[in-house]
Amino acid sequence: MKILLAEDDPNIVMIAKMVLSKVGGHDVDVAVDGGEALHKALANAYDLILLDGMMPVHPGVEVCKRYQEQKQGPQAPIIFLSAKSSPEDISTFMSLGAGYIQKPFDPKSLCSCIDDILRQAA
Amino acid sequence: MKTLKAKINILVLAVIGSAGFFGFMSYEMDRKISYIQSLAVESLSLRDAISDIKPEKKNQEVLQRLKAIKSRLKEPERRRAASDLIQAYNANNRRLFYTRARQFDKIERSFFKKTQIAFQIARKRLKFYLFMTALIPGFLLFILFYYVNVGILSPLQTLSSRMMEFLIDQYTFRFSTPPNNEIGNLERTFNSLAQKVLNNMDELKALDRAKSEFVSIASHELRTPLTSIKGSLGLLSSNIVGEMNQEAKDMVLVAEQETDRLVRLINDMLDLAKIEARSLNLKREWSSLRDLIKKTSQGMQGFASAAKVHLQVVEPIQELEALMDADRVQQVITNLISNAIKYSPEEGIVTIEYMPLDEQRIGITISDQGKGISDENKALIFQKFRQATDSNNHLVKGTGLGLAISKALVEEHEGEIGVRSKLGEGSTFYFTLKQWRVRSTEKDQRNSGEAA
Repeated sequence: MKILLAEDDPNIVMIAKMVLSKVGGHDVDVAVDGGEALHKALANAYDLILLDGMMPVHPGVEVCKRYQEQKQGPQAPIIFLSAKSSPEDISTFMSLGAGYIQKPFDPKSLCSCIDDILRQAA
Repeated sequence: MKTLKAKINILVLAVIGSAGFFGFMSYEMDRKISYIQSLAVESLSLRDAISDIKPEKKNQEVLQRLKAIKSRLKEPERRRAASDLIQAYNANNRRLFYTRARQFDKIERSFFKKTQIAFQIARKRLKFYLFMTALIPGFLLFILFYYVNVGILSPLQTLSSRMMEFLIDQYTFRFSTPPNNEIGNLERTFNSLAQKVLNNMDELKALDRAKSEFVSIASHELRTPLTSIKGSLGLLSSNIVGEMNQEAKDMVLVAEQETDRLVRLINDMLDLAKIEARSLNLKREWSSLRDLIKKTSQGMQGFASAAKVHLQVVEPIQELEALMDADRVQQVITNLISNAIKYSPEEGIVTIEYMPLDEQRIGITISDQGKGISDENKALIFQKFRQATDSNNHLVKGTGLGLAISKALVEEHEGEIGVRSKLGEGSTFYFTLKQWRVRSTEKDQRNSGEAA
């Protein structure tokens, strides 16, 4: 899959990119803030968008909303990656996107987790 | 004059004073009437005495008597008449004596008439004073009564009922125009007190919000670096970044397990803080207990199998629902089952059972065949960060917060939680929920979305 990873923490970028490409064999594109994420998401076609909850310029939720409003053509499914866990936050994520993965996540199971979510959403 | 005390004191003094004054005047008038009457009677007896005197028999005794009579007379006319009479008696002039006696009599009669007139006047005055003795104090008492009722008793009544509003947490009323007296002071104090309570409540709410925010931010901040730590360790242990020797793998495993433990601890602390701050916002909905317990025990099946422990569920005949936050009750049941599995021996059985206790309450129990819990520990285990050793006497890898959270969740549902256990005979953890009912078929259709 072609995946867009929007995440401002470089450590997590490194880890996630490594797992997704080496274990899942996916093609990973990175954005380090909400502005870049929105720009790339609108400009390119991805099979999946992973959005960090808190990023500079726009937080994940806002990127998601704007993407859904402005995207021309088929929309990629969106999974949020966030440290937030309150029921209000989770229901916000769920109502907007396909799924939600809580941080800290286990890198070993990241790929299967993503597969499960996508399968359930389909 | 501003205070009620001064006004009331003055009024009371005025009542007493006026009653005293007019009472005294009445008394004096009564005495005067008696005096007038005695004068009248005396005058009558004088006339009698004089008419008895026979001037032919001249007598020292009679002369003395005449002189005594004269000395008693105060009015100059009467004294003159008496003097003339004595003079005639001394002169031995019979005809003159009788003339003077007639004159004396005439004057006495006129005097008597005067006393009668004075008597009437005095009687009228007495009536007047008696009337005032009743009227003036009565009127003043009426004013006093007015002040006490309107100025004291009514405001006190208002104050008392407004204060009762405090009992139902209403602190909004203020006295808008407190008067400048003792009642006013009370009202002003009431206003200040109510404001103080409101301010305290606001402060507490703000404190509560600050605490929740802090916990939320703190847990987020703690989770962020843990993400990278867990991530790197995961990559290491999965050999994605290359092979390690066995010792290195063991080290990484330790780090991974402790990291997971930290993550659970943060989650538990966040839960506990939310519960304690009462910002948990439990949902209260009717949900099927059977579905909940089935789902939970199925979810724990993997953990049970790994520990070689059997799970069994005992259900009542009727299908029951409870008014609860299903997710949170699931959390409690999961915690209790998890503990039961941890503390069970191999091939042990963990039994989950639920049944109505009475009209109000329903009870859920999780029993295990573990070591049992001593009496001292029974209370301790529900405290934060307390753990016991497991069935193999290993220190259990938990956070020590599970039962504390379960306790808080059950109590938020207004239920009770506890344990029945004897050393060597296993334990039965139980908790109660406050409202239950039998699931009926129409509700079945309505609840079909809820159940799963």
